[in-house]
Amino acid sequence: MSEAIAIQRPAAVALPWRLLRLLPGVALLFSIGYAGKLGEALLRDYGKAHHLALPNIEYVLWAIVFGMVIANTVGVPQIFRPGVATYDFWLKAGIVLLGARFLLGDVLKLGSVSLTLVAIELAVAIAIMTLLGRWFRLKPKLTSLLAVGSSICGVSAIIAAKGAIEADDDDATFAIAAILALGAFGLFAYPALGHLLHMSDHAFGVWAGLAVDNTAEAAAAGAIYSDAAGKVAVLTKSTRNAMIGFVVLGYAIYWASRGQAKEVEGKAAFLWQKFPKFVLGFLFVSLLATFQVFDKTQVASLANLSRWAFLLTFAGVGLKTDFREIKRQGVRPFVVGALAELTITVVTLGLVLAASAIFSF
Amino acid sequence: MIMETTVLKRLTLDWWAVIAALAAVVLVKSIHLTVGW
Repeated sequence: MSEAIAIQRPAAVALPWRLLRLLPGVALLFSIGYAGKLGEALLRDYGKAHHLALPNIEYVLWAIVFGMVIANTVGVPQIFRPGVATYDFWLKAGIVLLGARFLLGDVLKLGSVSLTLVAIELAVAIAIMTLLGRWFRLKPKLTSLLAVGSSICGVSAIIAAKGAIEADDDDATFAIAAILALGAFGLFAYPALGHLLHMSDHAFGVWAGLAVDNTAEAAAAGAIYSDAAGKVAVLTKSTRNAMIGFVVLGYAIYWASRGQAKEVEGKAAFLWQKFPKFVLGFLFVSLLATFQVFDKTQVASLANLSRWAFLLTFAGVGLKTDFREIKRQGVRPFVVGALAELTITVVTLGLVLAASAIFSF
Repeated sequence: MIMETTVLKRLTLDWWAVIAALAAVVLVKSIHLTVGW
């Protein structure tokens, strides 16, 4: 009985307190995201009123830039940090809700094309990163982390792999810094390149989903290009995320065979543990939409809820991009990462252009 | 109660995101909650 009280009491006190601690940061995410929305509307209205052909700068870009300015000038005060860290939660909830905009048939069609491209991208990314890691004489486990980060889904894949291959904290920090720096660069570079190449929304979405490492940045890069491209980017990136368990398991087995990590017991359980569960949520909502559980107004409401969730995510992407922190991590892993990303960018672009010619998208 | 606490603690961020999104789906479906943009 005393044990029950000892466990219950802290939980009862802690949960409301923990939720309360999130409020300032979530309010900051909302304010920055909403300021992004206002920025887009103001520029559009100003252009209309003065008969100027101003470019349409999406709210996504405004929100990210506002966040980056705050993070790299005044910084994010401690009181906001727990709430700002929820941006990943909003991203995943937004992806589940996005399922309402996809019929399962489209998911399977797009998913099967994406899956083939993802398989090629994974093989190319891992091979390139391993070669570059050897040439630049990076520590082998750091190379493994960079390979996992660049081939699948950035930070979460690195964290998952770090535990499985028993890498050092320093290696994980280096790899995360490199992936984040490259993600920040990709946010601006990919949409600019896409416009330069006159890519269709669909083709650009697949490319962003294949080439941009972090899910939040992939969704943002797609949404900066267009709403339709953002939708496709999220689906392609989710297909890539679903592969996380297999790649991390592969590395865990490799390092265990060299006696430098624990043996993996229960491989099926390992795969299930690493599988991104929000993909199941996305498929479930998509299944409901396929069976016409929602009417048109409800689909619109769910799509808008998804947009609001992404709005908070994009503000968080800006706020977590601290260039001073990235600079402190040193330049070598960044150079290796950048070279690998450049190659992956070119290879995935070739893949997407070939696939869009074959499948007409 | 201990079991409930343990289950809640074992839920990952992914699961919380799925639960929150499905709760929103239920609200939109059952009380016709309309969300604008």
